[in-house]
Amino acid sequence: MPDTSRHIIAVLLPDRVGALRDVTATIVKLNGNIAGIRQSIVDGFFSLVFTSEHPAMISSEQIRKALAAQLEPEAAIVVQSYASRPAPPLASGARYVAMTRGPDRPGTIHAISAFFVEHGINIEDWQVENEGADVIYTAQVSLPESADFRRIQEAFRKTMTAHGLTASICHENIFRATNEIGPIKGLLGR
Amino acid sequence: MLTRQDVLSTLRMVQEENLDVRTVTLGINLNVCAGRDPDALIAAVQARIVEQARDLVRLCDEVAARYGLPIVNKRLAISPASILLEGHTQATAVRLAQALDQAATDVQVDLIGGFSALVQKGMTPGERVLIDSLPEVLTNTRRVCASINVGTTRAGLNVDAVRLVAARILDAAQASRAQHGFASAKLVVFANMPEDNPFMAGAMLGSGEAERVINVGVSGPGVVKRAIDRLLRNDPDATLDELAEEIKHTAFRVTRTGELIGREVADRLGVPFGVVDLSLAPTPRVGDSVGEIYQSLGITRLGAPGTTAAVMLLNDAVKKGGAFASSAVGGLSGAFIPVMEDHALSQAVTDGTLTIEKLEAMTAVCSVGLDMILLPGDISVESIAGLIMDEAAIGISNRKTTGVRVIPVPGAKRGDRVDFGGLFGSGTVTQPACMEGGAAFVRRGGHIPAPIHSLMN
Repeated sequence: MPDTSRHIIAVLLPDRVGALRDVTATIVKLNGNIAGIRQSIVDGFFSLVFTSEHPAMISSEQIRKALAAQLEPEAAIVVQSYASRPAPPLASGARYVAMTRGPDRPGTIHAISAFFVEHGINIEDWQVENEGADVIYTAQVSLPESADFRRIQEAFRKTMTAHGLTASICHENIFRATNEIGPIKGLLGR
Repeated sequence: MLTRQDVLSTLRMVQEENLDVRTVTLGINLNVCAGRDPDALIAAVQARIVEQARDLVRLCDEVAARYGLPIVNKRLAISPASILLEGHTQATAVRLAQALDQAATDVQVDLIGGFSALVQKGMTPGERVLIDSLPEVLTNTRRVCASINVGTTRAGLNVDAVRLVAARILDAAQASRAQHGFASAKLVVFANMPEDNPFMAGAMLGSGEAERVINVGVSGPGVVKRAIDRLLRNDPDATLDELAEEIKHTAFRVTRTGELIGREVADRLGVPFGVVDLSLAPTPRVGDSVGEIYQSLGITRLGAPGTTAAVMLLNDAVKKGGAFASSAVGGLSGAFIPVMEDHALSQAVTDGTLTIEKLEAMTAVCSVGLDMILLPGDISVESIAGLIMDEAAIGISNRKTTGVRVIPVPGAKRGDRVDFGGLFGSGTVTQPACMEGGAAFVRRGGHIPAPIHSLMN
């Protein structure tokens, strides 16, 4: 028997001040240590996903009940245990940023994600925001080492144009170079 | 983690504000090709360039696609060709230039610079051969660019060389009469010539450089202008120091893109990375103009009192932003004011608000000099020499680079319009307020000694 248990936990509730404090207070009480965490506000909803490690005797159900007792009744809570960190879907690959912009239409996100699947591209992060009448989708993605980037770049533009979107995909280093301070040399080879 | 704002602001610079890498320039030392046999020299030069540069354009295109950032020009800069011409004739100089032209065509680069001589203190036979060959070379080649250094702060000004080059500028213009004197547009006369400049017409690989090196020239006047416009929309009362700060931040970002591209091309090519030249290089396109930046700053009529101060503000802010962005800054690094290549500057000359005298004042505080200026075809050698001497004096005395690239247009008078097309742009023939009167001074020849502050040790 391992002496720790690992859990991935998702919490959704209408955003309010103190939501993260209440969640983490519960985890501390259960002797948990938060490993990875991501929190954002999606259309007014507090959205939190994190992983935590606890003494082996703490079960997923105990964590879920403790959180439910701490949070408001409308909070949605999912707790799932896991043995080890899952392997990434792509063993290795360069990271790129894909961006599309265009009118808000049903099926757009599906079209983008379907394109990525078709080309073996894994979405690591995804943001959607409105700007005027347009919706802007920004995705950080990783491409397989074997990918023909220029072919994918061209196909992405064409496919998205067919959906009424302007699109671009380029290596993340161009964004790091223009927004970070460290030496450029450190970016090369990433 | 990248934010949406990080991504969008970068994409906006590329997609809407004309950010590009203006040139990736591969420097190649050709001294190993030197020899007394003209045929062997020509063959060796052509073979070496093709061997060293054959992958440049392909790799630049790959890197440009990877980052979504256009590389507008891919160019070559060779070690000064005058070294190869020691012991040779003018006929060999022309053949050498044609071989350079052919090699540049073979590797698909836009231009090749370094048909150059450094004669600030004196002139060797090979340098004399090169200068005398310029009219024929520049008329009969498409991609070859030439540059002559006539002065430095340490050496003073070689007036004999100035007079000789001025005569060859007029000869080159006459020889390319059918193209409105265009051959002269491929020749720049420098004081304090940088040895790692990636921009044409003055690019060359200096004697202190590596055997091969990648230097990069960034662009970005459109990005700077839009940044200023955005700031003024949000704060119409922004002060000049606030505007300078905005330019500095923008220059930082522009410089970083240049270094990223340059380093990656250099890595892939297996050569050292040299420098990023920060110069804001305009093109004739609207939205890609240095003159528009001054207009955004509040100089609505270029040439009006205040213009020189605006140039200084821009130039200084660009340098400060760039210097923080990269430890590999070199070349000219400032704000170019090439009149024909910048529609706003060109229009101001046409309107008569921007004169040669005002341009000369502006060059005292910016990176280059009298650049891409159309002159009447009947201007005298002494007047061209006088312009070069005045401009060189500014550079020598202020320990900075200055240059002169003027085009005497055969048969043209003040006010005539000339269009070279493409990046060379179009413009109106202008002239100094006083065309004659300095000839006796110029004809004395000799050497203007180095200024007292050259004695630094």
